[in-house]
Amino acid sequence: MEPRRPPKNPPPTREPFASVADAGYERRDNLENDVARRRLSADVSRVGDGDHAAFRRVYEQTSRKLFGICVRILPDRAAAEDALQDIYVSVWKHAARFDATRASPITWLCTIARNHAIDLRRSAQRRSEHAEKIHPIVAADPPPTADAVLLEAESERDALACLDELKENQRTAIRQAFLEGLTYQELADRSAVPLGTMKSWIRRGLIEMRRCLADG
Amino acid sequence: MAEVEIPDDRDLVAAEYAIGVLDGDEWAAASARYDHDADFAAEVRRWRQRLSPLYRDVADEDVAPPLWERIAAATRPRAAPPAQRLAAWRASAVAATALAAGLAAVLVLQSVRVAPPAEPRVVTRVVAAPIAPVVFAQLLEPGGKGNVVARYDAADARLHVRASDLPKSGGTPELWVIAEGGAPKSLGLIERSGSRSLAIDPAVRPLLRAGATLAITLEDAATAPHRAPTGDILASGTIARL
Repeated sequence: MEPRRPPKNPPPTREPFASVADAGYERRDNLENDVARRRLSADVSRVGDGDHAAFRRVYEQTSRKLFGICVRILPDRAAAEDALQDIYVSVWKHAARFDATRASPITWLCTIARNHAIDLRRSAQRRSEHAEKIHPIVAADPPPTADAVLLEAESERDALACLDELKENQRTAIRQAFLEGLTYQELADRSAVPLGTMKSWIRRGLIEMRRCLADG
Repeated sequence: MAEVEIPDDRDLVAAEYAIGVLDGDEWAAASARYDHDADFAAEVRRWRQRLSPLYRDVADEDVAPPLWERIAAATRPRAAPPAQRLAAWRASAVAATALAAGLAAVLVLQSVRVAPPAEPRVVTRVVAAPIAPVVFAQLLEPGGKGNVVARYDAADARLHVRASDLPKSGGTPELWVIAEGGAPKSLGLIERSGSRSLAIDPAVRPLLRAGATLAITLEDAATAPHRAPTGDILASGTIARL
């Protein structure tokens, strides 16, 4: 399926999912790609049934990727290792929630890793600033939602095409925020622009992406 | 530098939370909202999904081999994971009491297994903060505005409770702790809107631990604390350990 609007900028070169590339994950060959995804999906599903050997295979296939995510967001490797341990222990406990019919296994795992790393980063920042404040951390399941179908309805390719259409400064800022866990203030400091300018770049970028995705 | 115009778009909060640019109070507010506002959470997940192709830009990092040993030690099947133990416990409890009612057993087992959210959250630990056991819970009023946050600090055995927007009539809010499989125990009355610090009775302290449930009912203030709740549960939440 082609994106309906050609991107203004050529898509940047993207590093493949190297840790799962051994299984052909990111190759052009759709069949191998599909086989690898199914294999990982099946292993994550087995983890949900308490299969520890499958858990080890999932770890071996994905831990370098997930560690790459943690290392970029957290201040040092020790913190990233602690986070990675929590993430896999959580995957072990909650893998039954993985639904192979609606999510890509590697995306599911990357999302868990990033969410946790960002939670840790923000909690630590917040604690040093407002030590006395209560921050609720809820372990209870969020309420069930009916959004899953919509998630897969927008193809990844459309989202990438829309991201590539953004202005360079917008795209870079959104990318850095997402992958490095940087706040508005940190992004502004890094780019040496006023906070208001950074907010403007990102919000305009998000509005533009939303419009682009809605238009298709 | 010319004044920049910052688009003011409340619908963007989900996107901002998803990409992670919020901090301080804005981040905490969005994080709490994610936990109890299903529409907001769905929108956040949509944005995360949209941006997930960016994960391809992340280079792999080698992990020190001992980490797998730590993870394996924490997950060895020898001790079944808590979710499985709980499921087994519930299954056997149901089987013992309702052997003839096959339908009931099926329903209970299903309630344990279904309704998975797409993204389990890892319970957050704060990195560099050696602290006495502290547990939190957020209690929400389904369909209402009520919102209660409770923090228990084992060091002084006090439960700090902050409530907002609990109903103004129908009784006074009373807080209960319910251990897994146990009966509710009153922790005392709380404000409808505002903070209160409750001294916790030594006998009740062991119940305030991760996994237990806190709940609120509306009761008669004149006779509180009560041995058992009479009203419906107004709000409830699960305790998490920090």
